[in-house]
Amino acid sequence: MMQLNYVEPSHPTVIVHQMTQLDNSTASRLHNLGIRPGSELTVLRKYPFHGPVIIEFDAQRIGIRYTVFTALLGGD
Amino acid sequence: MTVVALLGNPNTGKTTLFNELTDNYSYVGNWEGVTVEKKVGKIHHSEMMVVDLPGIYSLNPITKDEAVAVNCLLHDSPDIILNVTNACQLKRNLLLSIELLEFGQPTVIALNMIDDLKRSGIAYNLGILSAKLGCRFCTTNARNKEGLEQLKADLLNSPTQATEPLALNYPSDVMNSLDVASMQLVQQFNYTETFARWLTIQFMNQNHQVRQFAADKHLHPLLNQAICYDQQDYESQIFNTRFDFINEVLSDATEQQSLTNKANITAKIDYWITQPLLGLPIFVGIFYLMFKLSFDWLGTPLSGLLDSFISGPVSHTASALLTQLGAIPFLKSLIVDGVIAGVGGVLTFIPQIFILFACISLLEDSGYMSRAALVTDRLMQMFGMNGKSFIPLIIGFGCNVTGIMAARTIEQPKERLVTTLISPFISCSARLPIYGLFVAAFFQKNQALIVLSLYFLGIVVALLMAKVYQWLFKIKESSVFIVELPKYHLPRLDIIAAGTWDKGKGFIKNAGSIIFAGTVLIWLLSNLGPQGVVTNINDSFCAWIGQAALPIFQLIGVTSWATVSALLTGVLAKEVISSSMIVLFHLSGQTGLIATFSTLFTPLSAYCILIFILLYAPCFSTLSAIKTETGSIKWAAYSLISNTVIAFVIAMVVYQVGSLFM
Repeated sequence: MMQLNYVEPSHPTVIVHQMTQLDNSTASRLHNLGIRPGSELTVLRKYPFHGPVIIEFDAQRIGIRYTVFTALLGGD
Repeated sequence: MTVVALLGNPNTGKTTLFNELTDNYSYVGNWEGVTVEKKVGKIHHSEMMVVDLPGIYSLNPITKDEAVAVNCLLHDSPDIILNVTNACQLKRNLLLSIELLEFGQPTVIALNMIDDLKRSGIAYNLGILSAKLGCRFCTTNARNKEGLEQLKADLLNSPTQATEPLALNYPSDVMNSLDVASMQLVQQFNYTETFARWLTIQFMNQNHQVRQFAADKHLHPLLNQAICYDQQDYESQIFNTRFDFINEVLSDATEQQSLTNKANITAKIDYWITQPLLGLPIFVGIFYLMFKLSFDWLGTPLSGLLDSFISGPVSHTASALLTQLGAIPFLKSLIVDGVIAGVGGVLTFIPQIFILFACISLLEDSGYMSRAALVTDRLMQMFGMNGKSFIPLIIGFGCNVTGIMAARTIEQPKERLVTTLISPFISCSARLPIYGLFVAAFFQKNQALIVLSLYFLGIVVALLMAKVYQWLFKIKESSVFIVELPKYHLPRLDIIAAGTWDKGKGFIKNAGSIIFAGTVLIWLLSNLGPQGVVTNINDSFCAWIGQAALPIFQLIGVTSWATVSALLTGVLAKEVISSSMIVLFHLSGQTGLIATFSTLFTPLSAYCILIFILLYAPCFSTLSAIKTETGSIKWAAYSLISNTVIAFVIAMVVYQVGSLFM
């Protein structure tokens, strides 16, 4: 018999390398959410065509833009 | 009277708590930025005022609504601060708490949503938290009314005098500069030491509003050092000290941490809702269901019942009663053919409007809205906007005025302006009655589809205009888009009912005031002429005005002056168009409608009229909201003219091109 149970998919994690490439408002908002260099982020979902990225950290989920995401990882 | 300020991160349940603590009802939703203005209420059986403020991430405001909260602290100096936090996300919530504790007013910290924390298997020792941070802690679950009595007792027992502020061990450079600057502030400007230190830390932290405050008050000890502070990056040093302090406090205070393997419900739902490929179709599907429910399945049958009640028993009884009382025919006609037919005709749309609002409230309370912002962001980016602009636009379905207010949560001023300018194109509830009249007469089989097409046209025009403004204002600044995805809530009936009422009450209130006035006005204009009371409506003032503008409107398929007069009254409020039409065409409710309309319009011209009504001049309330939010009457005047021109051009093109084929 087939089981249709939901299985928590495993997600990759990344480490924030730097926040200097971001504009001030974005950087300070991410600071306020508790992200700083060294923070570990779980990447839950990436949308195609460089769409938004959903990340999870400290029991919270937020959506950010692809450019911000790559900037956090240290540029292209 | 003691004033309690409710401060905390967005979407931590401040407004729910406010509603439970006070006599007031405020509008609640499960997304960041529900509260954009401050609201005041009184705690039951006490002399304590509570001020509900917009959510803030820190005391350094980025958006306009956040500035409201910081201003309250700077200028209104509340007696007690109630800091509401999301217990699951205590780490980042405490970043704000530290800033508040440094301010030195008595503070109570509520760990809200404590049930979510328990479910995740973590517990905090309140005694340790209390000792480390130097303030009272209590746990609440505002949605289920738990812990409220304890919180109320804590607030009533709290001292109202300034207490010892929290003093963190910042790096020695920062500390030395802090000592020097704050001492000078105390000596030269007579500030208390606590306030001087708080001001200096905030100034070092590049708080825009505090820097502005310092410039306004000529606080030289700070202004002279600004460059030095920034060069040595005091901001990061302060941030890191706070962050390390929080980590230390939390690891001391965490009592148990049992790992739970249960996949939580939010993860399950999100797995489907935010699928890259399914996200947008699900979004469109949800809206299609909403419209089906409002117009086909439930709303229209109910509306039919209400209509037969008003145009039948109510109208007949009033008529008989007036004849019995010996009212003069003029007065009787004004009441029966004017007020009851006109206002009553608009009121029959209550079922559709309230069902639509109930659906929107359900989406808001559940937490879907921020997912909608996320899945639409990529699309909105193509028009130079961001997903967050989508929420004000959806709120605009209820009323454009509240939609424009909701735009305050958008970070960039220019994006906010663009969102404000395109908001009136969104089809608000007041336009529903007139759609209802026309679809009932011409599009019986496809009611939901025709109405949905108008809603979509409104969105498309809004987005295209956004693109135009983008180009006109030369907007290049990259937009900030960071959206929190809150945990889903099981919708609560009373919150949905209250939210529906909150959105819909304006419609009913309007029926009693502006629609009533507009109906009486149009009745008088159509029954009076240059020679006094007229028996032939073609000699009335109304006919004169309508005839004068008719040649222009013929281009979009309008053939009768009465339609033109009805359209002109729409600037008062959009609902007035339908009541005017009912009065001018002597329609008794919706029954005589099909017969009358089929001689005046074709399906094509009917659709063109609807397009024109969708897009033309915003109503007075919306114009005044545009004026308030942009701070200039020019933008209101601009909207009035440009929207009418755009509406006319689009309706004309559709009519002229359509005529070639039909």
